[in-house]
Amino acid sequence: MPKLQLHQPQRQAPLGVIIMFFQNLRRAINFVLAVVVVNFGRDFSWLGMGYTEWGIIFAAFFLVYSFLQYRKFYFYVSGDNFVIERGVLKQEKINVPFGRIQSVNTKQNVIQRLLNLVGLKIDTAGSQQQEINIPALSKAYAKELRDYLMEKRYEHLEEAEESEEEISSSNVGQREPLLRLSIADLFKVGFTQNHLRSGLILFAIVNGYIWEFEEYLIKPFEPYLEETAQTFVGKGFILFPIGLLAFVIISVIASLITTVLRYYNFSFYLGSEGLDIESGLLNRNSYNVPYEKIQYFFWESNPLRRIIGYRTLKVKQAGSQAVNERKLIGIPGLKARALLRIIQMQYPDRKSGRYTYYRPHRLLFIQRLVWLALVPSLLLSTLLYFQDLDLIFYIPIPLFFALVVFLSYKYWRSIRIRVNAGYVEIQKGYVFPKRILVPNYKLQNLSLNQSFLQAWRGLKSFQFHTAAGTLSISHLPAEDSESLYNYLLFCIESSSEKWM
Amino acid sequence: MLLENLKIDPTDLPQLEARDFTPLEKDYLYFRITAWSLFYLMLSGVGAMLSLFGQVLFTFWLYPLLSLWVLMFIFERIGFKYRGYCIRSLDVSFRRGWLFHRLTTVPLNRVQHCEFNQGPLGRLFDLATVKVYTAGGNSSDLDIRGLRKEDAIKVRDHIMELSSRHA
Repeated sequence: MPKLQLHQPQRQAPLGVIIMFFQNLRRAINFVLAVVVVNFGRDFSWLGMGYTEWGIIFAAFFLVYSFLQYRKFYFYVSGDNFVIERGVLKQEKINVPFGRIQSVNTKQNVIQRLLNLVGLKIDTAGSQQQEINIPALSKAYAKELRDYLMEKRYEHLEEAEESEEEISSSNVGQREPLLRLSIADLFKVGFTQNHLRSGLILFAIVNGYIWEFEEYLIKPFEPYLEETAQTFVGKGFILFPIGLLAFVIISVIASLITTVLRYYNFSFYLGSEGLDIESGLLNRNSYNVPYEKIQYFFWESNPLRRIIGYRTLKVKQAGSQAVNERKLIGIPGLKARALLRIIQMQYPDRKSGRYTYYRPHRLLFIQRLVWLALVPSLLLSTLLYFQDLDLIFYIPIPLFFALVVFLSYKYWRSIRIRVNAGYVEIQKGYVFPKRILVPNYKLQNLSLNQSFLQAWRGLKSFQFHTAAGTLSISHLPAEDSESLYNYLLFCIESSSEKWM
Repeated sequence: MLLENLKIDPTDLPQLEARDFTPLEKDYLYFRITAWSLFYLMLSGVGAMLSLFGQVLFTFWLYPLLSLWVLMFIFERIGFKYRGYCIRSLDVSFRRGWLFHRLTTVPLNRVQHCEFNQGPLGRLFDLATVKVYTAGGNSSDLDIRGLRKEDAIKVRDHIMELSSRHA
């Protein structure tokens, strides 16, 4: 076993020079790309040298610079701090107190995978988003360093709390993954993605790039485009279905590719200190979520996934909203039984104790009916009326109306909240069913809102604030929500468990 | 879990009743009206500039602003009755709002920190704010506005003491 020897400054693995070279290169390419595109096809020369010469000079410069960066990058332990020193021109020293470490994750991008190196990333509980990143370590060393840091972190936390209670769940620390996605699973997950979303995201990205380089990509072809556009409009009725089909196919392919990239060889463990997730094809990432940072779980599905019975479990961690978006970790492709097993392991007493059920008032349905169905339909009809169009164009409107009413009704019926001594469980969504499970002691504070409309109907809206965001449920009967409010306050105030 | 075997009758639980709430200092109403009036004064300053040096008629902005100002009076007057706070041994609550009512309760064992502050206008009225922070995000933090300075300091110290006992 290699020794860590952290009492004296350590450098990264020697191949780190290459990693740093590529990091610099990528930044440079982003910068230079515009220049190259502008001069595309033209001869470029400056100070008597063309593309090749300048390219070689830049590459040599970056190589030297990366080498210096590598030489100047140290990490070591001093006292209760993990220290990183780096920088060629501007020297930088980052101190990370062990107690502030939240989690240590490893990442591998394509180049790191090729060189068999690992990047280590340390998340801290600081508001300042300083990047604490060691990009090039050998695999064994990274693992050891990670374990060392996590161990130090726990030692430190225990010292601070003086808690005599050892982490009792150490027997859970088996290295047998709870879930591993096979290739078949991967394809199933990919095929059942929300294709509409992947299609739109792809469209947005492509659109963004096209307009960024409008000058060079579109301008030269403009006369030609206009001509074809004319003929396209003429054949619009035929082309529309073809375009739709193309959009669907491209979307499905896009979701398949993103799924494979993100979830290739996905494995999920319940470690002794937290959840461990490893996944990715080109960029191989590993996440570690300490148990006490988990605030709540939710699991969701979509119409396609419901057919094959797949759900995605998501873990919400403590942190600000922005951090949470980045850190929201999804565990896809779970069958009901596997999901229940994980939940059961996390919350063994979920089934004990009787649940009380609450449902929202029908005002919720009525409001959605008015704002999502009635108002748009009326607006559309008046628009058509003033356009003096044939009656045939009005046909989609009642269909739209009926569909929205149906979906609103189903949505309203799907909302349910149940509470017992230990947990709040919220269920909502008809097309995209979602279930949220929050242990009562993870709640931070509560709010009750009431608009004048709700006051007239005797309803209130309930808000649960947790360290991982706010959950809300509207239009609960006033007496119900008040008794729930008092009950949950009692639960929070009488619990002695640490929410983090 | 602590509560597992306990049979709890909802009617036995401590209830948070409207009558438990302490109303705010009357000065806080005047404070709010002054703050709003200053805001409207600023807007009418902008309007006056536009009218004096531009092409905008005085009537174009003066009447809407005046009617908004009168409406503000009425709303603040009625809304003030709904403002109040309540400190119990285990939690702090604050409520406000007439058309849109909001009640927030922070259990003291979830308080992250608690601070006291007083702005320039507050100094004029001798009013201060106690801010109670939790980990529940910005929208859930609790501000008790419109307290006398000495009361505010007392409230803050009280919350600090109780919350440190629970932590």
